[in-house]
Amino acid sequence: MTKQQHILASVACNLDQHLLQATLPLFIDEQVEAIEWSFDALYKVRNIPDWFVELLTAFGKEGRLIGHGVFFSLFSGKWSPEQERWLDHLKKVSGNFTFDHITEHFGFMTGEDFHKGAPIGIPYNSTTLAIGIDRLKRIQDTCQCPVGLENLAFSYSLEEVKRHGEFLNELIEPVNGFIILDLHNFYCQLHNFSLDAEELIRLYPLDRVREIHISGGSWEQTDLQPQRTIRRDTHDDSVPEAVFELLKLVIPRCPNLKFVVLEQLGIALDTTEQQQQFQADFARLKSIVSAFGLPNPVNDFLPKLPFALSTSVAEDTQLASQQQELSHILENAVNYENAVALLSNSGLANSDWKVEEWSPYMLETAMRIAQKWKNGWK
Amino acid sequence: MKLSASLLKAIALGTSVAALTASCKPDEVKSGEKAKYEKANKKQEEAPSMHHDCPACGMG
Repeated sequence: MTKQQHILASVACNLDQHLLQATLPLFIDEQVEAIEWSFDALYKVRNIPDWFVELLTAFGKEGRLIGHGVFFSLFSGKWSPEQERWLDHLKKVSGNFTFDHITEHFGFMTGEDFHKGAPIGIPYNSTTLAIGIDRLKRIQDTCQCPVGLENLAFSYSLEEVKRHGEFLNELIEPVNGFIILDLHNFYCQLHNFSLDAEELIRLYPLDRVREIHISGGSWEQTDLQPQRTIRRDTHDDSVPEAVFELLKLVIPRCPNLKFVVLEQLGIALDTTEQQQQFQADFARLKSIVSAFGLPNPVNDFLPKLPFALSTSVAEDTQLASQQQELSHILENAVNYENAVALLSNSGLANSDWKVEEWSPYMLETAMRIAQKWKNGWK
Repeated sequence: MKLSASLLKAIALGTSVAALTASCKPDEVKSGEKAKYEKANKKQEEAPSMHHDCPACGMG
């Protein structure tokens, strides 16, 4: 394995006018050491400009391009033609560009259409574990490079928050995969469940972290507890000081860390002031990363042993049915009380979903997320 | 990482005239590049607007 010289200060760089305008001065000053591209987010774009292809190629040739999937829906109980096409697309882009690794998100996508929905958590049981492992193997078999999963910002309950790191570890172990530790997602969990950072950090396998994300988000009021605010990972603001502090806290504990990525949506970068703040956030990221010594990675995150794919994709009809019910409830319930009533009469009641233990304000948040995204990207 | 000057100019041209004027020295903008800009801009015009939002982390 080539010795890694330092942790790479990186930008999530997609084909977005304002994001690229904000990043261009950083490119000119040779500050950006790697880029992350959401390779499945250009489904509406017929022609990728030649210069964007050249940008991806330039970073790829240096081992500094990483791919970040959005829409695979790892835990859908039913395997869909769209997931098959997603793998076909991954194979194609992996042939065209050199990715250092490929990642996806935890959860399943609500919504009946592939690009209309938001990722929501799943029960942590043997069924979902088997499905997740099978799908991760298919991703790794397709891209032939290290694969990883990102921790989710959303949780229904405190118990789920506390088990997330362990479940991620079980999922990635068979492919010797890694974790993207999204520190803003982590920050959401800390705030929304009133947790101490040290307490939650201890529950994550930090030796499995190869990539860290930092970003900003937003606050939302909950109708159920007016004194409480909910932190949402909306990627539409600058990076909070608390997230930079988390970055300083976790870097020394992540011996296999290679990339630290700044994420922000173009919709929040349309003014000069916002673009300057983005550049300032990147400078801060880079100064923090640079302050730490050379990493000494011992894991290349490639499968330790060859694995065989089963001839049929792992599926579960009961899980698929429950997910369909949950999506419908979250997208259509008129209020929290209505959602609770619908859940108690659904196939999710008294099951591994443990809907009876969900925090009321997080169910309310799940409804808002699902109803926001049910019509897809505007 | 160092990117070639031609790629940097292409990104500037491809994203907007405003970015071009803000990020490049005036003498780097040659009149002969107008066609290149128009070509890059045309490709973007052919595409629907770029994505501006992302649900992926679960709290978006």
